Amino acid sequence: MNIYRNRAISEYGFTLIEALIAMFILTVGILSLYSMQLTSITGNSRASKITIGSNWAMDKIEELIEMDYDDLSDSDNDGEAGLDDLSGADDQETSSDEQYTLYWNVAEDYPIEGCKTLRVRVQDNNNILSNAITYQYIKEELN
Amino acid sequence: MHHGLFLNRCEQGYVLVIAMMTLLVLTMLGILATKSTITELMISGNDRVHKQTFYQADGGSELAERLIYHNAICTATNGGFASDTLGTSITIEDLTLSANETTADLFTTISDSNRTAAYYPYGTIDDSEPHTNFLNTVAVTYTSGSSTSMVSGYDGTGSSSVTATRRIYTIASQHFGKVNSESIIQVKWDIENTILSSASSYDCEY
Repeated sequence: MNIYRNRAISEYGFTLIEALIAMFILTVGILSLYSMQLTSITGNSRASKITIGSNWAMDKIEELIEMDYDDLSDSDNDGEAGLDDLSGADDQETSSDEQYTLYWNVAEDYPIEGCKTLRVRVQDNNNILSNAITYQYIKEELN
Repeated sequence: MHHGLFLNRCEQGYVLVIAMMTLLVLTMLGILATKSTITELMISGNDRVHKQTFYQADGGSELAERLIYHNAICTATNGGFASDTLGTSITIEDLTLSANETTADLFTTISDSNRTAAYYPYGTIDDSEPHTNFLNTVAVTYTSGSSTSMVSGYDGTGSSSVTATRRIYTIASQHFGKVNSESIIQVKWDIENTILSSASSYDCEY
């Protein structure tokens, strides 16, 4: 009986340690899963930023394509070298959802006479996207 | 006591098993979430790249129209472009490309090994970088009395019993973008023959 009680007591203590170990393992596991979830959440928001941003870029470039050839002007006269400009862009506006800034540049008579190169760059205002989304089109003068 | 002991025996490892099971389920969920995130990122990334490629090819077709316009004037007055490079970045494969009489289906044949009109933007092309290829073919419409017939091929500006009124060009513009994306735009474009017949050698700019 004595032996029985001793065994019972010692096994009771063992379970407590066991519970602590289990809790420890669970905590470590959940913490790593938490970072996994974080990665997946930031990844998803990146994907959504890319999709929305590229649609804004598309929206703007279609608008520029529709404009008259003469109305597209290289306002700061920096030609092809200024096609990638963000801060010194020919023109810029904030998207209506206020999450993106749209910049566009025009290079006149580039790459050949009678053509204008249009380049739209979209920058994410929250800096989730490191690179600007860049679309380019070449518009020709009508004869 | 016996009963208590039995329970204790049964609980040995039980908490650990529950913890492991919970972790297993959560890990599964985590892996699923990560997988779907990777898919989302690939979808949005590919969509972005493909739009980029599409606009390059579409803009390329307008550039090709202008290229043909310049070339047609030069071909009519100076016998074609003077040099096989144009501007800073366009390589001309055929100095009289506006007179190209190919009957092949441009859309299916255009490729890096078949771009006999022109390509850009590299003087010395590196085909692994984004670039655009052009192919074109011409058809001339004639007005003869009351009937109009369409004759395939280039006929020059010499006088004959029929007068060419318009030249209809079929242009294929193919852009290879990043991550192997590719887009081909095929357009029909026409030019009035009077623009060419009234051109002088001073109008030839290249």
